Amino acid sequence: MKKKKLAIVSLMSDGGCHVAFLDMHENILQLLQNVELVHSYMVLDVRRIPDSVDIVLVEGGVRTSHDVEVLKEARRKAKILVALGSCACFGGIPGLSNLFDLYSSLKYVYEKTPTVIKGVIPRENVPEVVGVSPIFRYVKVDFQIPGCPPESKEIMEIILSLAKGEKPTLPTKTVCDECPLGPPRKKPSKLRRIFEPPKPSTCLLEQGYFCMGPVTRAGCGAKCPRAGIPCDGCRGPASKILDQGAAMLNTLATIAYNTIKNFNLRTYSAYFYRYSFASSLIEDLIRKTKVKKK
Amino acid sequence: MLEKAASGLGVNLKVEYVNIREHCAWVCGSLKEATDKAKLMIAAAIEKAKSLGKEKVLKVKRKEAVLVIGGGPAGIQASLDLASQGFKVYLVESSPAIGGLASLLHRTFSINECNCAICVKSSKPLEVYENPNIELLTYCEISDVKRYPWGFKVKIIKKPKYINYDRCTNCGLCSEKCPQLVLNEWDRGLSKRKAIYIPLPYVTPPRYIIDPNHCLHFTENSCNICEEVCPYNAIDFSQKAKEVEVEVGAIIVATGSEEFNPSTIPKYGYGKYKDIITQLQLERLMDPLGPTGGRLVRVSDGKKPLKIVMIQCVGSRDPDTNPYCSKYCCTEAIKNAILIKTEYIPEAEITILYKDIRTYGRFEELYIQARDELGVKFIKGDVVEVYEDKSGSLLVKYVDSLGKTGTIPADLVVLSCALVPRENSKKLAEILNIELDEYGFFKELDEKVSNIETKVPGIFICGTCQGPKNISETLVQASAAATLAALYVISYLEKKLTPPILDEEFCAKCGLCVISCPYNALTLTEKGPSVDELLCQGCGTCASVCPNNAINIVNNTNELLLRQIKAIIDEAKALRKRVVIALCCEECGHTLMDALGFYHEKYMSEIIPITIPCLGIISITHILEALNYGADGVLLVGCPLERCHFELGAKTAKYKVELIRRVFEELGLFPEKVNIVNAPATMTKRFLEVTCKIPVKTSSR
Repeated sequence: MKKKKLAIVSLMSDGGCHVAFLDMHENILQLLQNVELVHSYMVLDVRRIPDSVDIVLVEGGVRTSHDVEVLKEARRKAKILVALGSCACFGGIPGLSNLFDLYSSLKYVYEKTPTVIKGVIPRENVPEVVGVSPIFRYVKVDFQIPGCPPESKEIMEIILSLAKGEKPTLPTKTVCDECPLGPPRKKPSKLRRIFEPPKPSTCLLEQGYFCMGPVTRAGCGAKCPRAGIPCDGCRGPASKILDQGAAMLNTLATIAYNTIKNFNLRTYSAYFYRYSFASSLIEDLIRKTKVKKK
Repeated sequence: MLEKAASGLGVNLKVEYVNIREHCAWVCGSLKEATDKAKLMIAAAIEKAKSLGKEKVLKVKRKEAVLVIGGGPAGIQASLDLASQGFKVYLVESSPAIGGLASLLHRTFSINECNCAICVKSSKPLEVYENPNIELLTYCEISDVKRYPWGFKVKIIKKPKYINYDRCTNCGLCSEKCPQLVLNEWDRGLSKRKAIYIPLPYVTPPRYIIDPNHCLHFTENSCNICEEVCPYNAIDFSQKAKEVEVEVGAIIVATGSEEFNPSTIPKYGYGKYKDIITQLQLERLMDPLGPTGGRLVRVSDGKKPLKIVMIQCVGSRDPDTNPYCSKYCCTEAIKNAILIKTEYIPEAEITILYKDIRTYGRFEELYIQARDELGVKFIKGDVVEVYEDKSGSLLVKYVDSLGKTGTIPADLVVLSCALVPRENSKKLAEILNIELDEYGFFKELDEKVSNIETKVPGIFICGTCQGPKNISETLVQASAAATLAALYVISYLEKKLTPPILDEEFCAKCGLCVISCPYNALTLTEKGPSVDELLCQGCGTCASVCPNNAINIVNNTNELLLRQIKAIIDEAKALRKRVVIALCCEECGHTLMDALGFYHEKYMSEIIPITIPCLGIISITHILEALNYGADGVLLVGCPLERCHFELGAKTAKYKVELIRRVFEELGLFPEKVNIVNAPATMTKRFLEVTCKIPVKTSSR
């Protein structure tokens, strides 16, 4: 059997997903028996994406017009295009900058950040900066591997299954399914912050932490709650959830309104929308309204 | 009806209806608008009809047993009526004996000569005691009541009486030897009793009981005399409070009322001077089995009172205490005046100070008899003060209706006090989840047409716990309550089942639905939440709180609702019409939309109603998705916040709307597009106030 060609393309990202791919360690040898890695800026010196690739993993979301070009090229050359990691799937943490308009974000980054002295927004020979966006807004995506970073084991299984021509699946349930702390026995009564140490073996949501477990896709083995840290939702919304943050907000409004009495999006977005703001319904509404105004 | 007819023909027909007349035709401005709106409404209904499944109907037999709370005349009458129809009755009384306030009376008022109180204070209680269908639980308290489809599970705490009745023969030796003397509350403090006692000689059940608040064994841990003298070893100090649980189909509350404590109003001098007593104390003094053996004498010196003054409306018809009229006191005072004149002290001079005489109905004859035949003096006026002069005789100072001040010397002053709610009725109301009126009496469902029912189906009220009334009125109401309770327990509960259905593929067993269910109908099992179909009311709170949409209400799934919303918007786009999606709860919301139709109140035709079981089913995602898909606004219409038919639905929906509006405001979007109307079904005004502010440019462009 001929080995399938695999490429990893990087857009706006910190390369973490790429590292998660390499984090397979010796398992990578098993993977390479089935696929041939033809393009990866971390391990191969191949500048351009080869012309015909069976599987392209796209790491990172879209931030510049350059990203858009690369993404479209990858789509043209790929038989199967897979979004790797939460930036590619949902926009990821950079997506939060969509809460602010583009110019003020740029101004902040290039002029006002404490480490910058007399900074200016670069204008020459740089691609145009656009709103942060998950890749599905520009091209058709065949499969998503969420996570920040994604689980190495999951990446491998999915690539192998795609290479065999099968249709891989993701867990349909939420993190609570894998979490040993739950279920909650009563409604949370007051809000707790992360620096207050949690009680052992008690549901973190019940204790009043904003644990995103109930709205986040399972598959990570509930690593964070196991360590006493509330889930931050890195694996994005579970199968039937349209909007991760809104779902959490809705749940809390029903069971513990007093914990979110003072809710405002800019302060709480890091809890509710840390990874999925750029693909949320609210962000959609903002974009549509802006288009209308223009 | 259609469903029934079809099933009669053997066809399984599913019906979804659209109320074109009230929700569309009568409320639209023009024919074109109405036609367009009707099209949109039908589009949503078609979407729903596509996925309708048949609803299960459950029939539950109610428990054929009734709990009666309170052993006064009302409770006794209700218990006897129910028991004689063959129902099992649990009669719970908080004091050691039944009879209530009526057991303290010497005579009741009546226009014929048959006015002795034996029937209410002795023979009827005895009938209760002997009736095999009635389980008499005296000296007990209700601690918890849980509602079920078949009725109520009631926890009753049996307070210890410290006596083993299997052994006790009522010989009375213990009481004779008991060293502790306390004021007898059953004689209204006019006599003394022992710490081990029978309340009054004629009470039911005629049992000795130890009062642990006064018994030296309990207060000082020093005395064991009764235990030592009892020849039958019937004293048992080791008894503890016991909890029993009974299951009943209905509850009758007949806890009665209390005589107003006049010492809270200083001008009457009650408590300060011994010879000022209340009408109930007067009854005790006249009772042959009372503290004086039936001699009417002054409490202070045992002399015959020759000048008696009765003061009416003590603690009632008084803006400072209770504004209501206590109904019984005018006739009670006149009855006692007649009794004194005809049987006790014919030479006595009796004066009655009154505000208005309200001897309604045929009791007017008693008033005429007292005033014209027996020479009882009536003065219309207000008491200024009751005081003692230097010689130690009482004087009643008053201002009459003409503004003239006068004083009347009195040997005995009798206060006709109001009936006031019992102290513990507030606690009981909380346990039963029924309401109290502004004075603390139990509140009926409707004072005109259903003054025995309460807001909880299956709980009935009767007697003076609902408001002051006389004995015969009380008995009439008690019999009525018994009849209603009987009808209630023999009927079936027919319940349309709309339980949530679980999609195990998506359920993570996170348990959020379990803790959020207002009816505790869900329990978490290994396969996910399981539903108690009887407890579930189908409000959909679980469906809304489930983040992964794994639990859904039959025929009202989240996906269906989204499909309906999208169907409306698609159709509207085709008609080039703007839409505001109005999600109306089945209770107040739907009825409010109907009411708008009845009143022909025009509102913007862009509002397209979708009926859902309860606003609790709505989630923030629904609202965002509707706006995202192209709706020009989302309007939630539901019950008032405190009166949601499903406990929490209206409130949580309000919270969600507030959150979305706040987020939109923060982002500079359109908070004015998301609105909620929480109003009872008839408050169409509130609906119009809210909807007129929704910014929708006129459609049909």
